[in-house]
Amino acid sequence: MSMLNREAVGLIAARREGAVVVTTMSSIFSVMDLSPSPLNVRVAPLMGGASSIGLGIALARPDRKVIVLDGDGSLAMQLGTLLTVAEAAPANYYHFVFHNGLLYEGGGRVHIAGAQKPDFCGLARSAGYRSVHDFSTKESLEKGLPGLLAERGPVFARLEIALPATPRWSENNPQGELPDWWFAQMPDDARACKEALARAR
Amino acid sequence: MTTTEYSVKASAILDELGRLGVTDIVTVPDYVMMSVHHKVEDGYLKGVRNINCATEDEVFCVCMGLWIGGRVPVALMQNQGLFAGSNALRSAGLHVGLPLLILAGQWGRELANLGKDPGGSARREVRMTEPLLDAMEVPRYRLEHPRDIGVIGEAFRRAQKESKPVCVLVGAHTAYA
Repeated sequence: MSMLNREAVGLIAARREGAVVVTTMSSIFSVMDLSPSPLNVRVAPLMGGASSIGLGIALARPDRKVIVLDGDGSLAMQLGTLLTVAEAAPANYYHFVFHNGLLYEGGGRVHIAGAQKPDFCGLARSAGYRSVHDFSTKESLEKGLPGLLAERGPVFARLEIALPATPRWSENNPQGELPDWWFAQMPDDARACKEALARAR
Repeated sequence: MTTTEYSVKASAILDELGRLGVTDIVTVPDYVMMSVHHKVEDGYLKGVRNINCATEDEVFCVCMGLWIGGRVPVALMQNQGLFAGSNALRSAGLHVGLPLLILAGQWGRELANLGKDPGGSARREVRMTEPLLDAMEVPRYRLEHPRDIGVIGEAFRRAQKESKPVCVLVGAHTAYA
């Protein structure tokens, strides 16, 4: 009763139309593969920043939907952002949280504080999001997405995410060096997105 | 609120921001600039949006998003916020090359230190703030007296020219005028 990160990103990307997509952590790889666009902003290395960067874009450009693909560990680092988003209340803001209880799902798989226990939907609801959804399968996400993206924001959705079939890092399969592109992606994306949005005014 | 000869009028600060074309004030409110916050909340700067955040990390990130969307944000916080938000300042600010004016109040500064080098303050929060900014390679200016008001524009223009955050440290409680 869950979906892979890649499956969820694929479903959301298929319905993004002209939306800005702000993504972080594991979803970065799926978005790069499935939905390349100058309107993508990959947020790394900055765990916890995606939701508030997306908020800024949404407030600056109310004419355009902003979709935030957040991680549960990332949101846990900046839980206060739920309050900030709810107060600012951008109608064009869609906040998806990929929930598997783990950091570094691609190999590290160490549990986040609280692991599976946080009721992210309850937190978003009590913070004041206009609408809150919970999806535990790709079928339910596929069915619910059109209505969700037609709603007035801020909208929150928790996605129950399964682990990929890749092995956990170990002595014989350790984590690798972080490549240079990991550090260049956010500044590059920020400037490309800024230029694309300016052209589209 | 203690007003002294070192206090800059809130209206003088906001008039500067208005002249510079600031569109959004993004903040975790600051004790030192309380009169500025009150004037902002009272609508002194017409058309400028006030965005209150839960943490200073968020302040820098929201500013980055606003800049991507074509706005001209300014960040307001106190010195403790620079410490708390330093990771986002590093990434969303310096790493991205965000042209951002930061106004940060020197929270906790003792009256006896006004008019002197903040590095000699008895309060750790005050004397460590400039070294923090220096370590992070964030240019900094001191707004220590009403006659220093021009540093706001100077810092703003430097941030734009060099595409990086530049900080103005507000040394004394701002005045309600």
